[in-house]
Amino acid sequence: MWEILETYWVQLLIGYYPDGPLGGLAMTLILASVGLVLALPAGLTVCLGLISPWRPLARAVELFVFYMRSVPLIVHLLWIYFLLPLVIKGAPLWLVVLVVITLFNGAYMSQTIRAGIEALPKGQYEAARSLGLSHGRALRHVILPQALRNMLPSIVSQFVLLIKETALGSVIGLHEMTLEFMGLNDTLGDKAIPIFTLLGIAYFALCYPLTLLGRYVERRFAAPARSARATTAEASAGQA
Amino acid sequence: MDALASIDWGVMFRPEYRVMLLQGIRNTLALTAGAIVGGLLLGMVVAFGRLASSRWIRLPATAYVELVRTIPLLVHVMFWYFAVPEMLPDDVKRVLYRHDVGFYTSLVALILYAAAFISEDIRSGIRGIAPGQAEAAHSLGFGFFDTFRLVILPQALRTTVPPLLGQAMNITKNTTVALMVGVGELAFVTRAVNDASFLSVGVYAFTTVFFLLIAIVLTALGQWYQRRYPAR
Amino acid sequence: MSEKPKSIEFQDVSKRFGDNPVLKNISIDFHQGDVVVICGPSGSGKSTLLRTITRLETIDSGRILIEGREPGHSAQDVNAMRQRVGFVFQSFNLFPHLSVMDNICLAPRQLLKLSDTEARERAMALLTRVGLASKADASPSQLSGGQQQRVAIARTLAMQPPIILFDEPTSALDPEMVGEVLAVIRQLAGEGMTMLCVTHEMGFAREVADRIVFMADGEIIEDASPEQFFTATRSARARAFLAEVRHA
Repeated sequence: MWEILETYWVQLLIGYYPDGPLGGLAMTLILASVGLVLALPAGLTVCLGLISPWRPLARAVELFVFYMRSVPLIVHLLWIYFLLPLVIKGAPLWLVVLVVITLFNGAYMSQTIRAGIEALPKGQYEAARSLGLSHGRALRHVILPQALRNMLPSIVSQFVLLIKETALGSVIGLHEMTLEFMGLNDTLGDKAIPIFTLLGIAYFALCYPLTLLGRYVERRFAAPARSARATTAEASAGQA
Repeated sequence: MDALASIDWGVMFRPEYRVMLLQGIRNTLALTAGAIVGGLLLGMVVAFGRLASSRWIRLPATAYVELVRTIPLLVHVMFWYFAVPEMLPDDVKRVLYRHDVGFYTSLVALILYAAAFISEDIRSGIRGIAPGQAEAAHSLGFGFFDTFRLVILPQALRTTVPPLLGQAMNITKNTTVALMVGVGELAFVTRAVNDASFLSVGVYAFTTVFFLLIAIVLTALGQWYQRRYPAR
Repeated sequence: MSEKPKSIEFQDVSKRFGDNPVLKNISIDFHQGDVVVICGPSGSGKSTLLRTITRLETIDSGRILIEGREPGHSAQDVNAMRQRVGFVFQSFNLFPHLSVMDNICLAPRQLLKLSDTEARERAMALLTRVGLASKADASPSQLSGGQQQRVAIARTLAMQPPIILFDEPTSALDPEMVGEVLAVIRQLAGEGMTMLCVTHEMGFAREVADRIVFMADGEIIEDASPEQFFTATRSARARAFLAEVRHA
C-alpha cells in the first residue's frame, strides 16, 4: 500500500491537474464543500416553500421533496447528465454533479431546517416580544441563533453525507477520488486489495473525524429539539 | 422541439429491450429482498453486540458500524467485487467466477452496509424503552430473556418499524449502486439500453417511475402502520 | 385611592377562542401602585385577561387603555407599550443561548441604548436584589426553576417598567422553590409599581395584595379588599373556590 501511495499520491490527490481536469481528493472535497454551501440556501428556500401559507405552493414543494427522496441518486445523476447539456452547452461533469447534490441535499435539508424552527418553544418568541423587542430583533437575537445552533450537528452530518455522495460522480465519469482509484486498479491490474483498502481508509479518514465533530457539537449544544433532528438526519443516513 | 419528437417512448416495449429491462427489475428485486433479510438478521446481531456487557463483543461491533457507515457504498461494492475475490483461495475463486460474481459480491456489500444502519435503528429502539420497564419485569420475576422477549422487544419493534421502513427504501435505492460492477439491475440496464442519447429518456423515465411507485407503496405502508400502532 | 391615575383600564372587553367566549364584557380599572391578585378556577380567563393587556392575545371588542391612552397598532407602538408593561411568564422563558447576565442586558442594550457598562451595572444590582449575584455568568440550564424565575423577574425589571404583570409565576415550580419567588414579588409590592398577579397562592394574596379580583367563566365575579374577600365572601362561586383551595 505504501508504494502505491508514494508513487501515485499526486494523482490521487489532485488528478491530472494542471495537465488535465482537477480530480482526486481535491475534487471530492471541493465538490462536497461547494455542495454544502449551496445546499443550505437551497434548503432554506425549499423550507420556506414548505411552510408557506399558500397551499398550492406548499403542495408543489412537498411533491418536489418526495420526488428527490424517492429516486436513487444515480438516477438523478443520469437525468441531469442527459438534461443539463441541453440547457447549458458543454456543461462540465462537475457541474452536473454539483447541480444534483445541491438539489438532492437541499430537499433533505429543508426538512431539517423546518424542524429546527418549529422545535423552538413558542415562549421564546413571546418573551422576546414582551420585552419590547421588534419582530426583526427578536428573530436576530433570540430565534435564529437558537435555531441555527440546533441545526449545527445536522449540518455537520450532512457534510459527511455529501462527501460520500460525491463518490457516485464516478458513475458518470467525474474524476473524483473514487474514479482515480478505479483508474489505478485498471492500470496496475493485480493490486486490487491495497488499492481499495486505501480508498476505504481515505474516506474513513475524511469522514470519521467529521462524524466525531458532529457528535461533539450535538453534545455541546444539546438541544431539546432532539426528536426533530433525529428523524431527518437518520432518514437520509442509510443511503449510498 | 424536434428533440422531444424523436424520443422513443415505446422503447421499453420493444422485445429485445424488454428482456433486458425485466432482467433488470428481477435483479433489483432480488438484491433488495436479499439485502433486507440479510440486513435485518445481521443488524439484530450487531445491535445486541453493541448492547453487550462484554467489551470484547461490544468494541468490534461498534468498530464495524462506525467503519461501514463512513465509507460510501460504492467503495464497499468495489472492494468486494475487485479486492475480496483476490483474497480467496484459487478453487473458491473459480467457483465464484462461474456464477454471477457481480450479483453476489454486491449482495454481500449491500447486506453489510444495510446492517450497520439497521443495527443503529434497532439499538435506539431498545434504548428508548424506559429502564422502568425492565425493572418492573424483573420485579415480577422474569429472567433476562423472558423480559426481553415479552416486554422490551414488542415495544422496541413498535418504535423501530418506521425507521426500518425507511431503511427498506434506502436499500432499494442502494441497489442502483451495484450498477458499477455490471450486475445488470435497473440503472445499469438503463445505460446499456441507451444508444442514442434520446433513446435513454424513455428508459430513465421507466426507472424513475419504478422507484416512485416503490416509494409510494412504502410511504403508504408507513402511514398505515403509524395509524394502526401510533407511537405513544 | 381613586385620586391616583389609572394604569390600566378595561372598557367592555370581550374575546372568544373560536366558539368559546373567554372574556365577557370585562370592565375594570387598575390604579397606579395597586397590587392586585387575580384568581379563579382554570378556564376562568384570568391568564387571557393579562395577555390581552400586552397584546399577546388580541381582543374582539372593547378597548384597553394603558396609562390613559389606547396604544396604537403599529409595530413601534406595540413595542413601545411593551417596554412600559413588564410580563413574567409561568414558564420563565429565559433565553438558553445567553448567560444570565446577557439575558438581563439584552433589552436595555438594544432598546434603551444603555452602554455595556451601564447595562451590566443595572443587571448586577437587580441580580443582587433577587439574591443571585453569584450566578451572573451562569447559563439558564444550570439554574433551578426558582432561580430561573427570579432571573426572569430581574430581566423584566431591567427595563424599569411602571407596570408589571405576573402570569402564574410559581405554578411551574416545585413547592420548595415557590417561597423564594414569592419573597421577591412581595418585596416589589411595596415599591409603587402597578402589579397584577395571576396566582393560586392565596396565602400570598392575603398578605400582599391591596385588592383581589375573582374571575370565573370569563367574568369578574368579585373585586374586593383581601379582608372582605376572605372573610365576607359575597358570591357562592368564590366561596366554593376558596373552600377547594384550602383543601388542596
